[in-house]
Amino acid sequence: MPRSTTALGELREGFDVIARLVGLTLGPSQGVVLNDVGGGSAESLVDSATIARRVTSLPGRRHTAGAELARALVRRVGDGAGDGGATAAVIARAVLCHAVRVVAAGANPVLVRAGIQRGVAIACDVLKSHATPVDAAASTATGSSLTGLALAATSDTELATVLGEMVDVLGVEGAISVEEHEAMNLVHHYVEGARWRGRPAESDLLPGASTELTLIDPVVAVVDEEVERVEQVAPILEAALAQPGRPPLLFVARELSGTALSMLSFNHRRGTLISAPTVITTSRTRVSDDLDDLALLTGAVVICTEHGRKPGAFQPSWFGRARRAVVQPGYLTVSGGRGDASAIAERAARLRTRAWELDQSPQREDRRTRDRLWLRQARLCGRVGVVRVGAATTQQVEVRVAQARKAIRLLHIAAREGIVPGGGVAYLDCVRFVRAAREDCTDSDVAAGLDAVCSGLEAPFLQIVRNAGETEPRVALAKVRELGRGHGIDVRRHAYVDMRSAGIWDAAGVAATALEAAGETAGLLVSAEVVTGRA
Amino acid sequence: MPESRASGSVGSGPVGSGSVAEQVLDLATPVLAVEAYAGRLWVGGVGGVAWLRSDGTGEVCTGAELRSYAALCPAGSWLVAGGAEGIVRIRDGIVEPADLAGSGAPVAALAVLPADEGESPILLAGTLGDGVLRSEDGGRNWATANFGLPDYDVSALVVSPGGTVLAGTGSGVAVATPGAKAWRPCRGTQGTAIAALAFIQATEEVGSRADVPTPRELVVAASENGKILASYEQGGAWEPRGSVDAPVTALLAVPDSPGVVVAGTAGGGVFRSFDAGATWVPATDPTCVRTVFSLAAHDGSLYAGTTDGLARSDDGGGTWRLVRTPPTHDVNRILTWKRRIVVVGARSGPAVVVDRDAGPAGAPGTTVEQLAEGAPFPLSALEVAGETLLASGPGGLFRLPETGTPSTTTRTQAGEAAAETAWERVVSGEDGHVGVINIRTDGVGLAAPARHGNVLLRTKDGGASWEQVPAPFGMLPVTALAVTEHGCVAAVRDGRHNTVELWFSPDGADWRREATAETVWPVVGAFDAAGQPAVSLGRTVYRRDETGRWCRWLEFDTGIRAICGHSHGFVVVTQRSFWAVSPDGAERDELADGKLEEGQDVLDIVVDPTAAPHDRCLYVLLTHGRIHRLDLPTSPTPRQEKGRSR
Repeated sequence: MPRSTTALGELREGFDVIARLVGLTLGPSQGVVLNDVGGGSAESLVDSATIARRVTSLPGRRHTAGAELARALVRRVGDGAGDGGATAAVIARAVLCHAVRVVAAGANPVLVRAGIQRGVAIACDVLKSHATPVDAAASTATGSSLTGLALAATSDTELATVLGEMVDVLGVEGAISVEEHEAMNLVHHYVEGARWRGRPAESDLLPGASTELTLIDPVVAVVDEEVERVEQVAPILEAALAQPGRPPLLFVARELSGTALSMLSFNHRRGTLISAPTVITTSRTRVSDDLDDLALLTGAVVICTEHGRKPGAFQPSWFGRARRAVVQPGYLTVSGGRGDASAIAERAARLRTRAWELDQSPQREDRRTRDRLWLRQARLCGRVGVVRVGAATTQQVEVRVAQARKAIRLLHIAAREGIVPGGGVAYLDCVRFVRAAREDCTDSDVAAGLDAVCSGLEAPFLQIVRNAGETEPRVALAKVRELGRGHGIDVRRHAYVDMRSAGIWDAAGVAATALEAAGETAGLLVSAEVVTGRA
Repeated sequence: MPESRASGSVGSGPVGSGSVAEQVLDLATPVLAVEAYAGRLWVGGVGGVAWLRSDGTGEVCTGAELRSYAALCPAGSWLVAGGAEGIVRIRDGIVEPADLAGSGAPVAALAVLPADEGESPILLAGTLGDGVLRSEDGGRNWATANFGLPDYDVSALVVSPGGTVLAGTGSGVAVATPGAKAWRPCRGTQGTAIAALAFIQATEEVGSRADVPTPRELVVAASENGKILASYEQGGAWEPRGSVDAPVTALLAVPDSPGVVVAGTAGGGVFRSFDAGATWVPATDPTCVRTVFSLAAHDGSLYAGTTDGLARSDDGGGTWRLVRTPPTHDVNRILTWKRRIVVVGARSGPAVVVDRDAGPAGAPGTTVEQLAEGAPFPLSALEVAGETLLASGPGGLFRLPETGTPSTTTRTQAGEAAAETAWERVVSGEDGHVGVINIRTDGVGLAAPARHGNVLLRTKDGGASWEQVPAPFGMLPVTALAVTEHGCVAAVRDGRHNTVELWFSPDGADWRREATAETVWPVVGAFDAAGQPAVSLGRTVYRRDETGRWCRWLEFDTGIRAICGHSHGFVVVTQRSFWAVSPDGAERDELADGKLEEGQDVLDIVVDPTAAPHDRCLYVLLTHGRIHRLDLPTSPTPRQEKGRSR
């Protein structure tokens, strides 16, 4: 691209620099970008999100502004979908390159932008219609599809295998918690039942060297108050003692102390009634939600003076039941709750919907809320897994944890919205539909926008092939077109394959998100007429 | 990790030094598990694990860690055994209890996943209530792995040669993810209670070459009502394949015979199929084997663990015969009743020991006669009350009337037993399910529930009638109970905190807590010490004096295993030796012939209270069903020492 002398041109040049950089990381042959960090040293950047985070300025203010647009595009797509930042940058660059040329030739930028929007909408519809549900195939194939997706996103076979299995087992409603692991390996487990952060109200509850206390078939009392006085627990203890078979009591509250705790402990030690006084330790603003969920799962009624249900007026019908409760120093786990299944499913669906509404929000706080809502619904469904990620150094652990989180997001989108052939082939399969729309288009400027989208749809494939060392990627494109729909190139083996059969997939939702974001940014840059800023 | 060493051999001979008489119980009991491992055949019974030589002799390899061994599984150099009380690992006579998560549900099945060389194999245990337990360290520690499991009752586990793991549950078959951390229900089996699973090599006609049978891997599942399901997709999808005319309990693919599978049933004997489970025919002699618990192949023969012992077939399951095994019963209590020795096991039931000379010479299986049929099962308590016997189980409290001679039924190797119910139920249901009974010679006595201490049963007529009285002991069961002339004592042990609470009542109705002690020693005894209640805690005996104070009365060098009172004093068994103690505790005499050999464990002792002083002897029940007889001194001997009374 010739060096521009206009402000708009410099803006586009800045965008192009970053887009070219992140484009190098696209595909399994991931190129490495060396970033000069000063002092004679450089760091290697291998993924689009890191490049977007590290490369913060270019020579010249307007170049930096253009770069910022590209960085924002990469971050937005990456944060929202877990992957696709590099794809979006590559598409946007190709669309922009084509569109700028036609605008320079006299096309109306607003109409070109409209053409881009139309082309993107058509391609997104095609992507979604071509998507294959991950559960449509046999379970083993499903597992490998998810593993393949995770592998493409992380280039970490061990991590991809574990995450593929976990998403497959936990399903669309599942939540995977990623934690750092002291050891170098990767371990994972599935939470049986529902687990909250909690602790025994007193350390003596776990005798000797025991690490947990298991209550079999307990009655469950949920108190959304700070319990301190004997009068607050005595009616509950008496009601538990009167239960047939004298089941153990799981007593869960915001806080437990004073004579109330002494009374529970005394009766526990004496063997009058086995009880596990437990405190939920999530943040004070959210503990009510957790207590409410626990009550719903076990069929208990939350005891709370504000709601007119005082502990002193406890009724046996307020007890919930569960098959098992395990109290550990950091957690409370309840399984086999006897709550109303339809009410549980209804609340889980409601929480899921609210989480989806926050899915595309750029606000960090919204994303936190989304994650918490998602965890709550997964907990209600009993679909929570934990993966503990270890590596040789602290920095590697951080990178691996970030990769794991991104891959999980990607896999959830894939599980929800289906998968399409990977390696840029799904975009290639959309080209003929956009071309068909172009044939029907009467406005030449809008048609130019549609042509720009066609260029953009070919760009990921060409970039992947180029990154794999092919000097003439268009030859590969011609060959693929000749082979027909769904065919592409497995750059690891340098072989032309049916991408579905080869197990090379992309998440349809991620592909569509990347395309939409690329079209939006390219349209913005094409139609912008004035760049303002401080001198 | 605590370890214990236990071994013994079939046969009889002196156990300790000196001239002591010894008898080995020959009690036919069920064989619950059979497994071929390390070139030997291993059997698990209600009270131990043993291996077999080809001549029927062998060696018992477990102590009292578990009371029933329902599943066996080789894992590397260890043999892992599971049962009602948990899981142990066995190697070279060393028995190592495992740490288990969950509620302690009984283990019904064990399986091992293939592991790379040098890595600990992953072990799985199917339980009836806790789902699947999983171990990554060769069976030392177990955690639950139930995610996705359709039911927590797991009766069967099977691992295919390719590493696919399937679990048979109360609600269908589930297939495990790699590593068996999670499960998926299998299509076509939902709602079916699966009792057994087996991978078999089937011959199927494939493609156009119908004349060439090709082996295919087929997995077969049998339901509790005899329905057979099959899957060619490593458990992916299932379809009905046939049925057996009895509830199936075990399946075995006959080695080197593609398509041949044997099914053990509950009450219907053994069935065979020659077409991979599509059609079934009963074995030729169904009377020999009735209820089968497990099946195994070893050295070209098939073996079945049955209610009557171990059965063997040398013709691929066509005919079966019972074979002799080392003792694997759970006898752990000894009593004297009507001048006869009675031995008791929770699952073996009560049985009368008959002198070997009195039985038909050389006829094995006649030294122990089962007491009248109809005793509660499993037995939670058995006590002598004068001329009657009292027994308890989940069905209630029963009494064997003193009128007439109780009908004894000889258990022979053929497993023939005449059924005659002679037990009378005196307290029905859970109210009569007691764990401890103690009755004074005048007929006054108490019985404490097996599960908790909310109530007690009290009798004044030797157990003919009982009344319920409230008790303040809470959730923990009473460990020991003694009814004496000067009041009653109940000891409640809290294993969570290693504490023992002593409660006293003058009449068995009004109880007060008088002492609390800390001890890690698991045995707590309560007895009548010359009219005063006394208890043993650790290596000390405490006695309650007339003023109501609990005083340290006797001390021994090691922990007290058992105490037995009689008209001329009492006998104390410690970890190392036997002591005859005078009634006032002032004198005690170590019995020279009572030294225990390493590996021997005293389970119980008894002195016949009705025996004449010159004929008085101590019967000691040792591990592996050995009864050791020691003559008690009629007068103090020069080796006596003063008791350290306080």
